[in-house]
Amino acid sequence: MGIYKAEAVVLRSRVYGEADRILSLFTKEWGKIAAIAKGVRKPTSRLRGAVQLFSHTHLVLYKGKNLDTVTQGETDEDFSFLQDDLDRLATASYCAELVERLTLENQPIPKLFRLLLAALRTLRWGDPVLVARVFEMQLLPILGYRPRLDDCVVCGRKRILGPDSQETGPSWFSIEKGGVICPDCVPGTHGARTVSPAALGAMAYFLRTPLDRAVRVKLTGGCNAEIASLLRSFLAYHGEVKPRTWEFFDDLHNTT
Amino acid sequence: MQLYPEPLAFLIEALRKLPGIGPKTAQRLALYLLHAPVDEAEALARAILEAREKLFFCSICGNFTDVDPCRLCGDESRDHSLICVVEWPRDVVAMERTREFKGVYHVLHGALSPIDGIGPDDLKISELLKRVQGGNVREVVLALNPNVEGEATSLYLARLLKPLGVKVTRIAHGLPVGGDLEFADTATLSRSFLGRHEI
Repeated sequence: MGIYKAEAVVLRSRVYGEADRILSLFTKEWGKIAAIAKGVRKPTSRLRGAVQLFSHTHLVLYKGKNLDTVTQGETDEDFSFLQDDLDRLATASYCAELVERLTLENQPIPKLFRLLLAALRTLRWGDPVLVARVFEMQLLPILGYRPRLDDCVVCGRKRILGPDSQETGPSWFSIEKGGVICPDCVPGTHGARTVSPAALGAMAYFLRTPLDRAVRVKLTGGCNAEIASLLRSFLAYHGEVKPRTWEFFDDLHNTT
Repeated sequence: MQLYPEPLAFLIEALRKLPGIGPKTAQRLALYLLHAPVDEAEALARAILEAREKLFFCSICGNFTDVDPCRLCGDESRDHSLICVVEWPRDVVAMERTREFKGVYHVLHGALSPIDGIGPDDLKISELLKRVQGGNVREVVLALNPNVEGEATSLYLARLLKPLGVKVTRIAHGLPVGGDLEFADTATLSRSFLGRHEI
């Protein structure tokens, strides 16, 4: 392939050697790739601006044996507003970490690329907590982990969601089975947990609404905590990830 | 099959743990040390041990030192009401090389980085707050790296420090000396514009 172009978001950037950085890029064309940007820690580097963390950038790369080398770049959006708020930065880091850890190299997923960009753009004005929840929710179907929220994952019995729902009490949810379960199937299911109708409704809404519209909903603190805890377990079980940003979130909210 | 005698294998393994050293370099270094004069190898071993035994963090600024307080913190001729906050001990060296700054330092040992799980508790932030609360501090200069993590950390620190009634400043962003406008990225250029000054 030799020299190629890519539209990318910088997911991660690690110092390497004297003045280089190793980047983890999520590209629209080629999925996740690892690349080296040489000399970008020097103040006179021409490339430096184009490979800053989280920036949406157009790059020219040279194919290498292990690592590709970034040879040219031009920033499209630098999302520099993320630096002004620790909560927004934490959410951006969280989205980037999920993408980095849940995707394989050289496997393009254009839908996920668009979702990541939408999340970064929405962070300019949206509530970072909601952006994180909606991102988690919308990431699942793209990666093939869509939770089933409308009918029982065990027996398939329909349950109705929404304002005309007959159910007022909490429903049951199984992380392992990946969705809601009807009361009849609860006894036979290992680790079933309850979930409130409000949380279930919000999750269903997040699944079907574009991110920049979904984050406009009002969510109570309790409801957010419920969804966050459920999705954490869901991601840990199905995606087999325990993002380091979770620790950071907990740390941040304990100290401030 | 064991390729090396055990002591040599241990040495190679130990060298491999150093940053930037792979298996081949480790092997080359180990074999070099075996061929080198004995006193050269001994001097290296002693230097490592001595540095580890004699150096510790300064109780005031957090930099590496062999006396407490360190030479910079103990220097009466420096301005102790002016604190420059940096990420790493090597940044103190870079600042000192300018010979412009006459205040004292505070080393955080990193910057906030959610993706690496580095939170406020992992840095020497509470030590800085205690120092400022102790009084006699007029200004805190934030000299963290001008990247996403450094900027976010600066902002976080500014929020904690300002209520303590101290002046908080950030070092300037702009064009590098000897640079070329044509190749400057938009972020740097727009910041250098904001930071323009009359001549």
